[in-house]
Amino acid sequence: MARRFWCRWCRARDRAGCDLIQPMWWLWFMSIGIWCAVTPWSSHSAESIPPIFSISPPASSTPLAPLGRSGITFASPDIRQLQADNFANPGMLWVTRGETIWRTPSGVKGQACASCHQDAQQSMQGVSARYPRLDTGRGTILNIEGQINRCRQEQQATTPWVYESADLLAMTAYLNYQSRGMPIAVTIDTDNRTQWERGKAIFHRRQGQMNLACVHCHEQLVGRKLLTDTLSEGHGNAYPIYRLEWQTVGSLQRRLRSCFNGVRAAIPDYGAEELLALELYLGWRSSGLTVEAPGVRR
Amino acid sequence: MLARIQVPSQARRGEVMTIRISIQHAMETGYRLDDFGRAYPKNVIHTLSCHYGGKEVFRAEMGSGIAANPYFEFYVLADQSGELRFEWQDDSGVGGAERATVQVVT
Amino acid sequence: MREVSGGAVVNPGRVIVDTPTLADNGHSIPVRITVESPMTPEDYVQRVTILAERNPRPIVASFMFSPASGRAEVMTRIRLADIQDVVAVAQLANGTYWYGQTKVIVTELACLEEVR
Repeated sequence: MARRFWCRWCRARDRAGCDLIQPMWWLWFMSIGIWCAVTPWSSHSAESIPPIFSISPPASSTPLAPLGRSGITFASPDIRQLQADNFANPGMLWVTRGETIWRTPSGVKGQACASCHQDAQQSMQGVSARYPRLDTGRGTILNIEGQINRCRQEQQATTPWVYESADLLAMTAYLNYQSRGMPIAVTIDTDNRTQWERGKAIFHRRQGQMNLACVHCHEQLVGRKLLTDTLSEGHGNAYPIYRLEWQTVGSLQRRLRSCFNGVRAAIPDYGAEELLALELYLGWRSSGLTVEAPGVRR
Repeated sequence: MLARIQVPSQARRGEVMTIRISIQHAMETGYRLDDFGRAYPKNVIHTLSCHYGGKEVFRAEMGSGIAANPYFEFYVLADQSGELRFEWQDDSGVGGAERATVQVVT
Repeated sequence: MREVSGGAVVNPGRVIVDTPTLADNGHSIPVRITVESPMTPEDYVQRVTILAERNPRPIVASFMFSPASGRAEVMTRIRLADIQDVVAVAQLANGTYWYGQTKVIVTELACLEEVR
């Protein structure tokens, strides 16, 4: 014979009379329904989801006021010494090469950079510190590599250099070196605001298999260790850098692509709009930090 | 091959001069693999020599254990005004040379 | 070490290997080798060899000096494959061998590099 129903809480002898179960079920389903309706099922912003590690402070999307810390302040004394030593700094080999290229005629018109810009030490001083900037004609962002290639194509009538090619790295190193010691001065106005917003969104966007945003490591966890690396604030003021790991000089975009790979996200191509927007945001974010090109990092 | 050298322009006789040289060279070890699993051929600078006053004052014989873009700092006794001549060669036969003059005063 | 000295006894001492204990990156580690020697024609250092026992090619470099060097000191950047001792063997003109060593800790990079 089947056991008779008996509610242990309200002591009802049948289901219909049970005071508790029916209202309980009803309340339970209603609350689930309300929760489903209220929960935003679209992707959360980084600010609303707590960080993976239960630590404060909360994410900050305003500039690291008053000034951020350059990556060199997180580096070991050996690296700091190497960057400061103008002879031992391996990046200076690229600067020297860039100086030669500056004077070398190129293209159909047989013009060198020096033909228009004369002495780079005078004409190029402070120029790199203002990049990336908006290409007013096309509405795209121009970083220093883009500007170099634009000059090559439009003024010198020759082929552009590929990212990470020896010549482009040498020219970037040489130009950025002319702004060494000067503060980064990337300006955001109504024209490039949209791209800045885009760069900011990318910086705060969770991505990749690891589902991490730039802001997690480079703002929330600054100073903490990732294996033996100390997490820096992620500024680009020293680029192009001689990275010991690369055993050569590399551009900021190379480093950004490495970061995308680091969180196992799809890596944007060199020169992609995504990377340019991010460079613009990073340039604004490091406003005030001094240009250290060519930097040395591990 | 691009290289930068740092030699004092002037020195007193008997003074120990600090000589520095930085060469742009990838120092390919022969262990690195490309995307297809093939090893990049080994190509390192194997010898660097410095001549001063007609004789060799410093010589470095190296292999893939020296870091890329080799850098050396060594010392030479200032003896006579003249030229310091640097020569180096890598496994592929490509070599480089640089020279600098030093004026030695008594 | 015996290979470098050709079987002769290598005495500890006189050679200082100055290198950071924790290397930034195994691809480039600064090392400065100093040998106590007056560097006179009678008593000078002929040759200094850097050895890294755990490298695929343990003999890293050899430097030749002469009395014209003024100082038995050289500084360079080396590659180290693993945590190991960096040994410097100095050969004096009188045929004696001396060595010094320092342990260096080499670690891997934390984040993955980009796939080119």
